Amino acid sequence: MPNDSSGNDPKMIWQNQPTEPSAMTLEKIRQKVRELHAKTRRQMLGNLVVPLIVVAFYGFGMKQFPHPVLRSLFAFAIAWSLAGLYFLNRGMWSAMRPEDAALSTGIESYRREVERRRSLSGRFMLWGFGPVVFAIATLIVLILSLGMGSGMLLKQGLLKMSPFLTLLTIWFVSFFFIRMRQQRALQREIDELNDIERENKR
Amino acid sequence: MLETAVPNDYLECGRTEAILNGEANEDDLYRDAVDKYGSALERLARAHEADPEKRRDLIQEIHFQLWRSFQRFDARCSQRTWVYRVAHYVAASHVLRERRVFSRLVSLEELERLPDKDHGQFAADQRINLERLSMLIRQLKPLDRQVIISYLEGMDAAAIGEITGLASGTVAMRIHRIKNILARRFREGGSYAE
Repeated sequence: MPNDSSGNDPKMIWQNQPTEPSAMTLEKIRQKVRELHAKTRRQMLGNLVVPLIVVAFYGFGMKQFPHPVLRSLFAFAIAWSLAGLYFLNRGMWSAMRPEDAALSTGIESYRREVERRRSLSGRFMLWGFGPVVFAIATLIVLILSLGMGSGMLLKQGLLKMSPFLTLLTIWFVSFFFIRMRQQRALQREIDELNDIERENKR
Repeated sequence: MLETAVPNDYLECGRTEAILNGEANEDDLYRDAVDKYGSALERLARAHEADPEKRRDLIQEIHFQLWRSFQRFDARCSQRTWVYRVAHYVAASHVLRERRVFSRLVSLEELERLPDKDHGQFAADQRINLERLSMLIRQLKPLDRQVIISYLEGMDAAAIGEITGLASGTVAMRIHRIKNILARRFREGGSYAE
């Protein structure tokens, strides 16, 4: 390593870097606790908004359209959104507590965090993205069925909706692709941690 | 009298008696930890976040989680290990949240193979050297960051192993790599005897 006396030792550069005295006081921490509680309440309320809109919209649809297939689709959309609300929120609260992190080694807590993020990402696809895609699909079916009811051919309806459907497809594919890439990156990280742990045991 | 199982660094602690007797609450424990490791926590945050605003948030989050963690402090590990484990965990979570950056992070092995854009020149200005060192650390994946930060903080392999959970052999190998990387990147800085 570089000679200490030269002043060029990376350790010396690191340890002698200017730092500001901590601006965190116990009062600020307590204020942060209060803010965190308020934020949690806001988040919980915010998370209720989308499923409530879905329930209101499809509840109205079920009342207006007596067709059994449409009704079943609407009922399924409502059930999926409500289940999504439950499963996504459950994942949100399962982050590691700081005292558990302190009692776990760096590699253990890091692995748990990577696994949690991978699981959250997968859960979001199933319980967040899934209901949204399904809701949009049922909306398209609804619009098409209304069009066909007023004498329009299915082909004509699809043609008229093609710009919207194209944009929608691009959005679905891009979103799915990005999420899958993140999932793969997290899985690679877990594989690397497995290798390190194997190496550790030797 | 102190029990033999109590880690040594409590002996330096200003509130040692209260902590050992279980009389210290999380406020006392937090204050004591910040007195001793406040600067190190600032440096740790710098190693994880370049943006000053986000860094301030990260430091606050580390302090907050540290304070929370002390509600359950039971001296099962040393205060230093406790502080660094919590801080590293918060910082690693921060890195994982910044997903776009995460995909471009490298391991120590990969970093060793990467060419040095600055051609190993050591700048006269310490600020530039510090910025280069910080950037180098921020290229690394969280676990390797834990090792290099602990190394730069002057910890030995045993202490790094206790914090990270890596076996001493693995830590030694990683430190060897870190030394190679630093020597290559800061070639002009002086003599580089290992």
